[in-house]
Amino acid sequence: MSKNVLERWQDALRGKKPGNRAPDAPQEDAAQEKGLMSRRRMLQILGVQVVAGTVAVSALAAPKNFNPKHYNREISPDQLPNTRAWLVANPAQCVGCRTCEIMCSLSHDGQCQPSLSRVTTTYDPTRALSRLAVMVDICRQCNMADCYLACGFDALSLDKATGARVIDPKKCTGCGECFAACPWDMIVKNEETNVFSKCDLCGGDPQCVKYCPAEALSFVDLR
Amino acid sequence: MNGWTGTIVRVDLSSGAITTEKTEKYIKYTGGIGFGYKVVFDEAPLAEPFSPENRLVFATGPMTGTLAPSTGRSEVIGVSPHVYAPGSKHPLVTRSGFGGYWGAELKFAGYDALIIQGKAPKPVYINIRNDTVTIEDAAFIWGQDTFAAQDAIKAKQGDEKVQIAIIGPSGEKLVRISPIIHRIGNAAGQGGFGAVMGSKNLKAVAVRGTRGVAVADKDGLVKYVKSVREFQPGPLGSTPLSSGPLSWTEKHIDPKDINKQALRFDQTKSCAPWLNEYHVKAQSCYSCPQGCYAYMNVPGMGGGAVSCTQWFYSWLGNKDKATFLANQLANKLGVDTFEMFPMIQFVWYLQDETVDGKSILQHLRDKKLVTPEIQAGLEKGHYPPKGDLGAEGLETLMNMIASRQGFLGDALAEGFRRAMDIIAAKFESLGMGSVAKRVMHFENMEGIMGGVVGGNGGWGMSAHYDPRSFGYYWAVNFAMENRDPNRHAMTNLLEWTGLKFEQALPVAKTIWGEEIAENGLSDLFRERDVPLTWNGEKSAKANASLARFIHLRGCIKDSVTVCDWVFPIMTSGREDRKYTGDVSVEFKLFELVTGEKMTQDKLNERAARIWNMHRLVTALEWGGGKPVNLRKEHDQLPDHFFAPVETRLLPPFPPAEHPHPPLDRGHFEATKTEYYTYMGWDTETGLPRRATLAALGMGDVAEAFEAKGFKLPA
Repeated sequence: MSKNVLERWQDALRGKKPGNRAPDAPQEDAAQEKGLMSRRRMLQILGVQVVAGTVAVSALAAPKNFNPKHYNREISPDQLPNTRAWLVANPAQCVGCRTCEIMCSLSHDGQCQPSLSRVTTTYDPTRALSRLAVMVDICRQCNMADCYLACGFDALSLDKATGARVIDPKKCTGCGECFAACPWDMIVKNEETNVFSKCDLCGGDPQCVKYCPAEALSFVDLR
Repeated sequence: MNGWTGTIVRVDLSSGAITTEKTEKYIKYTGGIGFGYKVVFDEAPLAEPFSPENRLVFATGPMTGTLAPSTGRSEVIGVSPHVYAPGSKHPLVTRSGFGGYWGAELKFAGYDALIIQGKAPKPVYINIRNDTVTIEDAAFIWGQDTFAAQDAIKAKQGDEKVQIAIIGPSGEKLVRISPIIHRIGNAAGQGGFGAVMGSKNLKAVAVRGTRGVAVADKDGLVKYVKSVREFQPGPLGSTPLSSGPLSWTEKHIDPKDINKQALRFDQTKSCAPWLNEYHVKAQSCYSCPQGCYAYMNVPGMGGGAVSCTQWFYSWLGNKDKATFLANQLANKLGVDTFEMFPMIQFVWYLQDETVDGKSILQHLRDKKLVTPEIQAGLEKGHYPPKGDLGAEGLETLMNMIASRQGFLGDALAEGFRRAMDIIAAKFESLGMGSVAKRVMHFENMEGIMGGVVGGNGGWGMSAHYDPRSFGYYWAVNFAMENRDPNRHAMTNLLEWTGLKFEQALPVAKTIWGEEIAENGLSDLFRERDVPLTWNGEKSAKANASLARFIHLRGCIKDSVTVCDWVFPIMTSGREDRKYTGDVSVEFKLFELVTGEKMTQDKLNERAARIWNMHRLVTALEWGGGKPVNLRKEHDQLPDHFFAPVETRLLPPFPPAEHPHPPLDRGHFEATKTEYYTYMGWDTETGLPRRATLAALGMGDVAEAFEAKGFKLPA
């Protein structure tokens, strides 16, 4: 994270108004060229107001491992509330039937198309079985979600029902930043439409969990 | 299009030409073996198995790759090098299936089937990646075992999600019992299609697809699949009632609990409990909630997947890690595991039978037809106390087969039945007629498991199931096919369910009615000296009905494609359903996926087309184009099924039940007559009648047949 941004964040905590914008922000220029309001710009406007009013609370509310260096969109933890529901995978149980992938793609994309699934299985058993043969892998709906922080087009939002980090296909421009940012490889690219997508917890009733025959997926629901 | 992709891809390895055609051309034959038999009939029914002319068809069906349960399978069809039919003018067409993910991936790439013809000038593999289909150099993997070669292809592509169908070094050497392997445990085992690939210089077919399979009624399909999962049993014995030596029930799970279905199974525990510590977990094929495969990791032997006959070494008596080694060698080198039953028993036989005071194996050694080292290795593999039935004997045997080592290895590589002929002929040529006779005596030997597994079942193969135990419907089933049929429609009801016959019979009545159930079925677990149920004409008709059921359901499952460890769903683990399954599931799924209005009768009609297609190809091949009487010449079982067991049973290791009483020829023929009538075939020759073919919309095929061959009965 740039020094400028850090300074501005620290200024905001001290109640000062923001100074000039950081000098190089090519993403933002591109966004402004398109006439879209970038995430960063919007958060700038929002962020100052929120942070200024909740300095003490936000400092206490920061996750233990929260480090300002971990974000670059000038967002503080209280602006990105944690998800209230999430998936848990148990790879030891997964039998590699890929029903989760079929259900995810069938319910979201209308076809049985595992390559579009937002829950994935690693199914390459010719490698050493010291790793379990087939593992199911899921989106963690990260707290300081890298995908959310990476999006410059406001295509990432929080699902009203669950708090899941969700990509709006209508707003997605296909820039690929979220895809590059996710450390878990959980963002899926649709090669035909050039739009990205991710696990949205099916609005609170995850289909993959419903149909898994091996108890390899469960749904933690703290709503 | 719903279900089907609409496109078939064809690769000519001789010219390098790669073309596509519309599935529409074959769609009357549904998919899978339907497509395969039609292609072979149209293009090269009389091809020699190892000639460039022979077609090798990999085919899926409209349901492959969808949410419909257990739809990952792919079928392989071609003229087979493995089928043994000395009475036939030409080698015969047959099929072999494999599960895993390959079939689904082919659909994702956009193809319903792949037709391969010709022969590549040097080792190649076919690479399919969505629209891009190429023939790639395979020099870097030729000679490698199937695991290493799959890894190498994935590394070269930089994509670990590529699905590969591949042969081992044995296929490259045209070992006649060589399977096509996919991943680490899926195999198109019987039929020798690995050797057919080898004969085409084709090491592998790699597929990667990112598209999807469309289904007509999405919501309906999801609802229906959920309802089916609420009653379907585990496959082959994992219902809560199952018990016995091949019981695979481990967990008494509520059959309605669809989230625990795959947790019913632990084959390691029931087939080789001494390997429990190496069991990793259960694994399924695509879209299957059953979890049949046991994934294991044994230090020094690597990771592997084991299911069913891949446990062969333990079923033959091994009780140590060599059980797993056997599976690894079979899958890596490429040797059909089911063929290993008769093979190992044959090798023991060669050591146990003595002529002029010496074992046959010693005679081979004396004539320098086998080296001292190999002889020692094979003798080490004898069952105790003479040998240890362990790793050394196993490795000696499997390596010599895979590499065609020496006279004996070369002979065994031809499959046990041909090996008998080859070895006997050799002894004859050396003036040792009595030894030759002793070799041929193996033809009547009984195997384990009531006689059939490891014995000469027919078509040069050991047989999965015994007609003397099941019934005349099974005998007819066997006689009509060109290979060990290995159909599970009956075992899904009678054998691998844990149901007592008294519990299965009411289920049978629900499915077929009282007349057929009572006159056609026999209790598999009856006393060994009790013969099959026979009530005259009623039983002939009942057995014929059941045989027809098995054939049609077999054609359905191999064309739509689904797995017959699940379908037809004869039973349920649910007592509240009186353990009754639902055999209407296939046609309902078909309609939900394709959108085509479907009934059981219509789906049976589709199946009948496929079965008639198989019949016509067989008729052409049997007579080489000249008129034949299939009833007399083809539709037979080996003689020893009709004779009392006077030939010595294999020594009682492992302990084996003696078979049920022999079949009665009169009953067999009576059943055949009724069967032909039900199928619309001429009762004298067993040939499909022109009228039957016309009614099935196969008038064009009938015409083509008569042009290629001879006049069909009206």
